[in-house]
Amino acid sequence: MIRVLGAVMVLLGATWIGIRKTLCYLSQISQLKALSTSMEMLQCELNYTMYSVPKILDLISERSKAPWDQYFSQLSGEIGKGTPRELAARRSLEACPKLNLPGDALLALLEFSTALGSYDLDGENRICKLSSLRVSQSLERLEREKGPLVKSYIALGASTGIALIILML
Amino acid sequence: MMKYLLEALAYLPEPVKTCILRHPQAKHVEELRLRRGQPVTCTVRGVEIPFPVQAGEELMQVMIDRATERSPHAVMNMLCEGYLILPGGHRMGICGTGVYREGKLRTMRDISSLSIRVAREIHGVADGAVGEVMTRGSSVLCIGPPGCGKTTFLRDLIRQLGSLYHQRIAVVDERRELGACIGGVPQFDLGPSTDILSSVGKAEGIEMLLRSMSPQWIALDEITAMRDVRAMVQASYCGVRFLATAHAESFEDLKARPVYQSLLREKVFRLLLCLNREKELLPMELSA
Repeated sequence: MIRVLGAVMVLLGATWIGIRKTLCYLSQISQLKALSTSMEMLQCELNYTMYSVPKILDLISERSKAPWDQYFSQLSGEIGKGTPRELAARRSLEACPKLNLPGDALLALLEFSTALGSYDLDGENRICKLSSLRVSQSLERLEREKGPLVKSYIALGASTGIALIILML
Repeated sequence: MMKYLLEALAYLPEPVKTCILRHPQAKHVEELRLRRGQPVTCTVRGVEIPFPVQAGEELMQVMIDRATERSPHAVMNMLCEGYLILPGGHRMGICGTGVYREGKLRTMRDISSLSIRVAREIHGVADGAVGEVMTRGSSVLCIGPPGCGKTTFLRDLIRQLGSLYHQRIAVVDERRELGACIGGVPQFDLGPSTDILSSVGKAEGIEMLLRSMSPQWIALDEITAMRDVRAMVQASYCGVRFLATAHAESFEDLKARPVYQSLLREKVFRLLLCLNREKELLPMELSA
C-alpha cells in the first residue's frame, strides 16, 4: 500500500513539474501581450500628449496590468531621480521579481528602457516601433511553440514519473 | 527672493549650488551663466561674478537632463528656439551646435553655453499704473530694455486688474514665462479671473481666445513677430484690449522698429508705459 501511495505521489509530483513549466510558459505569453499593449499606449502618449518620460511612464503604470504597473512605476522613479538610464532599467527589472520573459524579449525591454527619452519624437517613435517588433516576434515564436511545447512538458513530466514508479516497483 | 533662486539652482549639482548660495550677494542673483571650460558666473545688478567652479561637459549635461526631465522629445520646439522654460517660470538659454535634417533645425548638440534667468514675482510693481490703465480703459504697451522688469510688471498688472477690478483677462503665454503653468496650474499669481493659454503661438492664441473665451483683455509678453502684430490689429477691431510688452529703449526706438510701426499706425495702443533700467515707470499717452 505504501509503495502504491509513494508511486502515486511521485507520478503527481512529476506531472506537477510539467504543469508548472507549462504555466510559466503561458505566463510569459500573457506578460508579453501585456507589454505589447503597454508599449502601444506609451507610444500614443508620447505622440499625443508629449509629456516627459517619467510622467508618461506613470500614466502607463496606472493603466498596465501586473507586473508591468510595478515595472513602469519603478522606471519612472529611477529616471526622475536621474539614475543613469541603463542602471534605471536594470534596477526596475530587479524590483519586479514576478517578471518572467524569454531572453530575447528581456533584451528588447532593457534596450527600450535604456533608449527611452534620448531622442526627438521621430527617434522615440522609431525606438518604440523597433522594440514593439522585437516583442511581437518573441510573442509569435512563443505562440508558435506553445502547442507542441506544452504537450511535451506534460508528457515529459508524466513519463518521468512513470519511469520512476517502474524503477521503484 | 531666495525661493526663486533656489528653484533656479535646482538644476545644478549640489556642490555648485552650495558654492553660489554661500556668496553674500546670492539673494540678488539675476542670472547664472555656464560657458564650457570657463568658470560658472552669476549676474548681480548687471555685473557677472565668477565662481571657482568650471563648467564642464558633464555639468552641462546634468543640467540639460534635469531641465528636460530627460525627455527632449517633449521640449524639442523650445530647444530648437534656444531656450527651455523651467518650473517656476525661469528661462534657460542654450547655445550649442544646431543639428539640421531636411532643412529644419531638429536639435542642439555639443552644448557650449547655458544661462538661467531667475524669474521673480513682485507684487505691487504695477501699483502706480493699474488705476491709470482702468481709467483709460485702452490697450497698454509696456516698453523697456532687456532685464528692466517688463514681464514682472505685466504679471502684476494682470493680477491687479483681475483681483481689484474683476476684469476678464486671457493670457497667451507662448513661452510660459507669464503664468509658467505646470500641469495646468500657474506658478505665478495672475489673479482670479485670468485664463491662460500656454505654449501656443501669439497669433494663433489671439484667434483661439477671441473665439472661445470672450476676454475683455488679452495679455502678451514680448511682441516680436509681424504675424503677431497682424493678429493684434485684427483683434483690436473686435473690441478686445491688449496688455503687452516689447523690447525698446524709448518711444523713438519703438517707432524706428518696422515690426511695431503698423501697431502705432493702426493706433492699437493708446497708453505707453516706459520702464527704464532703474525700474522707473513713465506713462505716455499716444495721440488718438
